[in-house]
Amino acid sequence: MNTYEGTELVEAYDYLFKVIVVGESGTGKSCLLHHFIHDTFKENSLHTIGVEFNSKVVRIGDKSVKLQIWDSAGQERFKSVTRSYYRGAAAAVLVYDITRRSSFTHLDQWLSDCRAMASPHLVVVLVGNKVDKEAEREVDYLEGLRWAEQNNVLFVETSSITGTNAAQPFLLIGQSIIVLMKDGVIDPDVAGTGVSYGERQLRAVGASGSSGGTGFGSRFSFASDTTGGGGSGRWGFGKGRGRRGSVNVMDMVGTGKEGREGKCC
Amino acid sequence: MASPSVPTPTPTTVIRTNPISLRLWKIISHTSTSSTINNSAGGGGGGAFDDPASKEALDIVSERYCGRIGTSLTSTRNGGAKAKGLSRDRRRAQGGGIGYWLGSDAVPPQTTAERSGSEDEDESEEEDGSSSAGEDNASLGGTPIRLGGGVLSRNQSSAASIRSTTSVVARVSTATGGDVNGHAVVGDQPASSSSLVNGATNARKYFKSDLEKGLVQGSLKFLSAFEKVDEQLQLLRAHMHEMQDRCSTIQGDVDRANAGTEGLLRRANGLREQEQSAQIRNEISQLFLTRFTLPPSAIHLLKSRSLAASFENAQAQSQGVDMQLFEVMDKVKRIRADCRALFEFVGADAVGVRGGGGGGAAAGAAADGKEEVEGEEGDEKGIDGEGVEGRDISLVAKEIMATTTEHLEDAYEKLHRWAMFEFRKVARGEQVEVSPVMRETVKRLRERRDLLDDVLNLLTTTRQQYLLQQFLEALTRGGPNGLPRPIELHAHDPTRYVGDMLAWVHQATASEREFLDALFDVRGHARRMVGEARDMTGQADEEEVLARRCLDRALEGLSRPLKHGAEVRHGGLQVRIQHTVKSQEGIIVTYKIANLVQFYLVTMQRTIGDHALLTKALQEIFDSAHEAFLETLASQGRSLLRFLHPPEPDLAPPMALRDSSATLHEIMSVYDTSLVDEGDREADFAQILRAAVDPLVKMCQHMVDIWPKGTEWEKNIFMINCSLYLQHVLEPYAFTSQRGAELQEQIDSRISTLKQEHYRLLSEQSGLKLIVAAMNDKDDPETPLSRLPGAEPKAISQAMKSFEAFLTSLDIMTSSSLARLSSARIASDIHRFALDQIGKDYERTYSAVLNKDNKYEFPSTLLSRDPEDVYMLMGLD
Repeated sequence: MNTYEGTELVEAYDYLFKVIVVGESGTGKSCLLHHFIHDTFKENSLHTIGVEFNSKVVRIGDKSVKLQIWDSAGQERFKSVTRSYYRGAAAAVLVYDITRRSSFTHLDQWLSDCRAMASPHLVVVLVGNKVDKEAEREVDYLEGLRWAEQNNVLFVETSSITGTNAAQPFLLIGQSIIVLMKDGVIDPDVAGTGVSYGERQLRAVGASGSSGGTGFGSRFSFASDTTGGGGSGRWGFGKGRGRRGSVNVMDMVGTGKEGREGKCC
Repeated sequence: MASPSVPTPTPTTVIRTNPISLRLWKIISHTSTSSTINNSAGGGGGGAFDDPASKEALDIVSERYCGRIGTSLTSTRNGGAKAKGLSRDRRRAQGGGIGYWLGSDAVPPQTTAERSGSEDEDESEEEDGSSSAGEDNASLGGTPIRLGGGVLSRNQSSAASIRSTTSVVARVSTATGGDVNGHAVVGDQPASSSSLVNGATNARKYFKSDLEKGLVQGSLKFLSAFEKVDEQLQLLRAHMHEMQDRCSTIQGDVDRANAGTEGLLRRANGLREQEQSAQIRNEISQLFLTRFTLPPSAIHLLKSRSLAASFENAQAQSQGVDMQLFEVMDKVKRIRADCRALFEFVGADAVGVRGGGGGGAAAGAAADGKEEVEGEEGDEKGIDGEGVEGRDISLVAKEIMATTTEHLEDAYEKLHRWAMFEFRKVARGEQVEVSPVMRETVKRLRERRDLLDDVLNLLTTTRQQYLLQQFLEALTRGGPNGLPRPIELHAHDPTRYVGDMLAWVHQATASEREFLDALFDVRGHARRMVGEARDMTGQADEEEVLARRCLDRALEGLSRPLKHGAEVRHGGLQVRIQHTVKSQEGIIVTYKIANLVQFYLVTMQRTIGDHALLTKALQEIFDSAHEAFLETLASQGRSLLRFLHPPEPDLAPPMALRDSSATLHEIMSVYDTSLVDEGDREADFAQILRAAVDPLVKMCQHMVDIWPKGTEWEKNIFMINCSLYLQHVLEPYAFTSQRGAELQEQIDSRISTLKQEHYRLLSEQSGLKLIVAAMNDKDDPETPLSRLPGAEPKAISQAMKSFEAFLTSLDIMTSSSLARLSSARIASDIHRFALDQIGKDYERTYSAVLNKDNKYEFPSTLLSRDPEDVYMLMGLD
């Protein structure tokens, strides 16, 4: 197998996460996604009709994760269509426009929709988009952060024009879900979680199975080396229904980068 | 005695260089000197050759020339010495031979010299050769030796030496000949003494005979000695001849042997060349084999029935399907290509053989045998080998082709089996990512369409089953712990139910599409979102076609209602949606479902094409849902017409119209979210609009029709009210503009009717009606207006009175008769129109009255106001 590992054309990945991008119309969801996928700004973006789909493999730690991202239309008239896509999503990117307060005030509605229709362990990242228009800012950074903390979601401010932090929301999602899997909250073996094994893990399973436990060993090899806080419930998700929401956003990502722009938490 | 003073002759160069000659020379010269010395010492020689070198030389000579010569020489020497002794005493001078000759004063008789010279065959020749030397001899005693040496050096053979010895004798004789004269001189001397005459005469007499006797004796001795030499020489000669014979025999043998070996040599050379060519052939064969055949490991890999690509042990010789196998396959293909090239190269030669192709391997073997024989026979027959080779190569090529075909088949068969095995596994995993080996396998199998089709059939079947199973699971079991909830839990909310199902299908399609793109290595579309519209019209490449086909088939299971076990529970999407649609009472819900289906239909048309089964199924679902909706709409319309009643007294739009319009409004708002292009919407929606609006319009018309008590005025107002209401409902949506315009037309025509009617009414009320009628009726210009009925001054005055009353009671803004019109703007429009007309009528009447032609008396008394006043009073400018 070693001989052609370097020639693999399609990136093999360990896990596949389903992600949905939601938020008010015109907040730049499609552009953000476009920037994440193609690393360029999407010119002349039209309103998304219904739901569009894209995918990308990202590297998180020592794992490759394929993100299957469903970009939904923000317009009210498509709500009946887009809400069907919450089902089976492992994570949601909730986007608002920092230059439009109305897009921020509607967040509660969006979040409750997410929570109502998606998997209970849905990882949500709040994204304040359009930080390039600092002059027109209507929603303060701290305001967004407070809302995120209150609602127990991750938070990051981005720009899909300059590309500031454009990949961050997706990387945060990947990290969070891997942490959840580490804690055994999400089991990729079970259908409907929006998380599943990729080829590499499957291959590893096959190898360990056939060689009687040698080789790769358990695909949950990382489960045994959980760090000190891993089992303490600090990560919150799923550690008892009542305590859902105890996630410390800062802890989750482990960074506390300075500055208003380019920061994430 | 001059002898001792005679300088020792120096040997010539030749003698010096030749060791044997040198010795001989030394011996001889020594002999001469030593004999002289001996002579002077009183004879008694013997020790003349005392020095070892001379002895050795003498030995050699004696050995060579058969001892006897030596002895004869020795005897000669002794004889010589005796002769010298004799020569000392002249009377008894009986020196013979050499001894005599050595003595410088010896006088050998001419005859002896001649006789001894005659002994030698070459005498005369020697005589000639040394004639000048002979002259020298006269003065220089040693010279003959030098000459002898010269002879010696010239003839080194033993015979020559002997000859030279003989010649020495000859020379001695010559020299003595020379001396004879001397003797003669000496001999003359005794004649002067008479006492001595007798003695002398006697002596002379005897001397001569003695001398001759001695000479003869010496010569005889010589002769006997030389006879022996001669004998020996004869022997030698015989030996030489024998040797010669033997040598020529040997030469002959050698020549024969040479002649004999020539063939062998040639043959050996031939063999060597053959060996070389055989080696080259061997090398070529090896190269050929490596190029045209597979190593055993590769064949094993091809033939092995094992499929497991060794995960655990990468070092182990793989027997499964992996890149190694593909490499081998590549090699096989290369071999085949080379083989083909070989065919072409051999081409013309091979045609004949290929033409009679039936011969096959047997012919090949025969040719091989022939070739071998020829090889052994050497190069003579190698010339026609080329043709054979050509045929051979084509045969070999054929054989290789056959073998490689077999190998290739094995490989494909193996790939096929492996793919089957893998694809069966695929059915178990949700997310399937494609390994490079699998992708390569599919790519390779594309060259064997039947195998590929087989494999893909299996794949699509398993995927189909898997997707259907997943779908049913999502429907009935939901996520882990039932979260997210199973889709069927929302069956009570039809749109959500259907939407969830379709969204699930959409997501499954995307995943499946990704899987297939990876499997078939579809590129060029890589940067395009799956959800985005694809260009379905363009020429799709093979991968795309395959991917589409498989996607189509994999999704087939979802859409297709199960043929057996027609229970809805086990049915797919189509059955469920149709069932949902049928069970709906509300037209809005039905429409929402239809529209939702249409939304996905358009999405799928853009992503998987018009011809995909899923698209077709969705089309069917949509058609049936749409039909159901239209049916509901139509039945609603029919029911509208079934329960008719006259309009309410307020002429407001009826309740049924309001309800239906509310429905229509919702339908339109739902339609607004559809994916149909803006440009196509009007035409697309026209059918629904017709089905929804036409019955309403018809209903209103019917309501008016069945209203016997209703006046035309009221009816018009009612119709306008209804139309306006409808128009108001349609207004927000661009795709209803045409219908709106139609309604507007109807409204406008009714408004103009109302305007005329209203004017007529007001005209009556204002009292100007008769006057206007009279003015309109006036056709004879000669007749003044005042003479016409209705326009008499009295009537005018009456009309003016009532007009005055009309003006005072007039509501310039609206009229009570227009109050029931729902639109105040339209009511006021109508009113204003009528008032304007009235104003114009008055103005006309005013100018007609003032016109003298109409012969009114005191016209100004008839008219209380001028038109400006009237306009002003009526609120007009």
